[in-house]
Amino acid sequence: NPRTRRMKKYSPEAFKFYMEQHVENVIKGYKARTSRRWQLEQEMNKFSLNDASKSEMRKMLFQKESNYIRLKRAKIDLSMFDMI
Amino acid sequence: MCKICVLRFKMSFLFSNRHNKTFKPHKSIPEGSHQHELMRHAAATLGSGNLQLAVALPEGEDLNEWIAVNTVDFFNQINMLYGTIAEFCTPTKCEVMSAGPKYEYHWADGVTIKKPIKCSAPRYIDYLMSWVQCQLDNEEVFPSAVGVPFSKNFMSIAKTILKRLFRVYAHIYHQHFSDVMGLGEEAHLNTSFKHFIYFVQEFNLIDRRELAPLQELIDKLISRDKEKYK
Ligand SMILES: [Zn+2]
Repeated sequence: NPRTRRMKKYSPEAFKFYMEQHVENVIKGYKARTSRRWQLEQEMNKFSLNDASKSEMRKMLFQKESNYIRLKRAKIDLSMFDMI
Repeated sequence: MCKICVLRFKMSFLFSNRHNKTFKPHKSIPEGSHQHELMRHAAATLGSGNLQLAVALPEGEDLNEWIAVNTVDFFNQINMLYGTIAEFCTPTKCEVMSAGPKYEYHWADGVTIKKPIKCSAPRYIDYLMSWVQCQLDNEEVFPSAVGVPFSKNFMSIAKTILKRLFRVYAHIYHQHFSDVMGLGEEAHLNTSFKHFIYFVQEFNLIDRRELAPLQELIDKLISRDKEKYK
């Protein structure tokens, strides 16, 4: 038999709160990411970078964004947060 | 400092002030507390903002990375959601894993259980969620360290995960919607499911025939948004 884990019970309040926060964060995250991308273009124009440097900087931002979402997925030990 | 260094330095600031927002403990919110009041207020704004825009692959992002982070999110939502109605989903009330009278699911994972077995819904969902958890915890499938690449079969595993998670939504909608209403969480379920559907449709992750048990609802949720954001 495969390993199973009895399904944990959650309070509806916890689920609702989680969802409300989550939807807000999804929209906020989307806007923030779009705005970082835009800010970078603004800054690069200010510094009048050449095309090669510009594309280098964009790559750097994409990499940072990508690393950031990977870290979001990193396993978080819930017990660490009990102290707060 | 050269121009590039200045920009690099600035770029790091684009990311600051975010890391403390990525996790908010939400484990125990006592009834009647201030937070509980806040939650009630927030309910009205649930679903504001167009989730369809937010599912698209961001410029420059790796498709696997994007699918991975979203899959983990959907798993967490479904896990909590089912946890709220688990007490109503018993082997006697839900003898088989079904989504309405027309659809019945039998469990097989292709590894430990090769021949599909007919089992109760709680048992099936237990198998299913344990199997998904196992995939998410597997560093070879879902690498969590920065720089580790995804395996070649990542996409096919992700598709199987999402196809199976869909069945939990389907069971809840068909067999437990009155329980969901009783708990007053139907707006939350709808929002979670709508986001899920936008996501799987954007990248064609689930076959249309798998979605059949909830097709009507899907059409309804999406047409309502089309009205709202046209
Ligand atoms: Zn059930």
